[in-house]
Amino acid sequence: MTDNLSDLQTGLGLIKMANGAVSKLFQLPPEDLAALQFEMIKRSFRYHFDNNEFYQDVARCADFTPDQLNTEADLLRLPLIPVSAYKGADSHRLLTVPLTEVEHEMRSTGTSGVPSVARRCRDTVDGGVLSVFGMYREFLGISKGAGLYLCPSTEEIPEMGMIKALNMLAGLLDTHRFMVRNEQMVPEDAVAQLRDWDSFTRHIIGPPFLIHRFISYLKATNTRIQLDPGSQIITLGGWKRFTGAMISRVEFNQECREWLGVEPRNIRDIYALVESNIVAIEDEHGIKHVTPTARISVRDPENLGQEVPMGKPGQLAIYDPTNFTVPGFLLTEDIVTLEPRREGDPRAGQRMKYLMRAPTSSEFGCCAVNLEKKMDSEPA
Amino acid sequence: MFSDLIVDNFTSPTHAGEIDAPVLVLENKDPVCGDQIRIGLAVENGQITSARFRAWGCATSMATANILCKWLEGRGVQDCAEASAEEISALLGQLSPEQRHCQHIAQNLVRQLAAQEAWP
Repeated sequence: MTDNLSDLQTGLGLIKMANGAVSKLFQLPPEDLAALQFEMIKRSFRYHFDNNEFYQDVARCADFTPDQLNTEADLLRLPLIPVSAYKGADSHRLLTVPLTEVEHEMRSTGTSGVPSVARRCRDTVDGGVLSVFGMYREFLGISKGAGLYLCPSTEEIPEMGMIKALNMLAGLLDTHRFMVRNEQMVPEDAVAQLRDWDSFTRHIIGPPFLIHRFISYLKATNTRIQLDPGSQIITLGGWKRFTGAMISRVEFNQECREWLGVEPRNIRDIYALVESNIVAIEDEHGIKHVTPTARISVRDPENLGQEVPMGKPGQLAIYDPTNFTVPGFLLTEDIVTLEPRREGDPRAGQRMKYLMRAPTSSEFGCCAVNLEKKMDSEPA
Repeated sequence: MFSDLIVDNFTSPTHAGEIDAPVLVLENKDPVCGDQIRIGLAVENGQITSARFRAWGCATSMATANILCKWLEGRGVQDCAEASAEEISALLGQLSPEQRHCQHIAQNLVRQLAAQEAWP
């Protein structure tokens, strides 16, 4: 047996290969996908336990070792790392690989202004790139057209997770333009750019609050734009504004239809967090599907060792085996529900609905809220 | 991406923590990436007797905070205040373009010493 084959059969090679097979994984029978995910999580847990002194201590304190992870029910005992640990001065303890192997640091900065920094080694970047592009292809199907980015560029805010993830889409488009510069957006320029792209299918991409702001301008000036039959509005970054007010998704969909000519089935929201390689992207029915290389678990906030029933709100935990840099077993500060499989839905895997940040969270937003805070503090 | 100097100071910080009732507090935040360093100083007779940091941000930022504390400790406040931007940058060794914001944070922190009108 070659080393490569052995790595696939018993090592981390299985996880690396799965990252490049997002669409295939969605086509598996649900029980086969669940078994594959469990196997990947098991191998990942052993890898981090064996190579990460800090995590091994955490696991031993929880009286849980790799030999005890044998059934799906055991996953509840898997030690989780709270996302707040990524902000700590001692976050170096989270690393399973030496810092010299870290290729990339990605940030998210919420209302507290304290950045959460997620570090990724080459294998973790490889996995994230493959699976995120796999998810984009699976749910957005974009391979051409023009992207109006209602957000700053990665040049202006390098390493910000939200912008980095959206910018990856740009490579699939024929052309794109970032419309926020120096923390200001000029909506007249955005309208002119959309009108100028008359030989491309036009897409609008950005955090909900900026698209909402753009639509407010269209309404105020009674400017109706009819985008194209394949146009999509792609959002990432949360629906709560810096003021604390929520943007209504129902109203947002209606306004996109009325002012931009885009049907709700082509409005696709993305859930992501910098600390994990997983994303959840909406299908044409507005249901968010989780990257099939990972598993989520929705926990009772009053008793984090218990899951809540399907459809009940709880705190999101993630088992992400594709993270080779730090243990990808996270306890987030997000409240979500696990959603049932809709009749006729061809995809295996899990579905979730994002509800809000946990009331106990020190942050009520991430990159988008921080960006809105900065933009609103700039003189007009 | 990370030099040995940055790796050592990030993974084995010797000066992390707080000083009780610091005489001076130096604080700087990069407005673009959000990295933040706060250094508390104990000063006696114009000499920095102790320096401790709290830092939030990338590995290089945290290492910068530790390097700066080591450099400050045992030095005269006046001497530190007179250090040039080039001297401060040199403390961090060779950095990649993505890490160079840490030079500015370090320079801004030391510049705050020069702005002090008096110290014990």
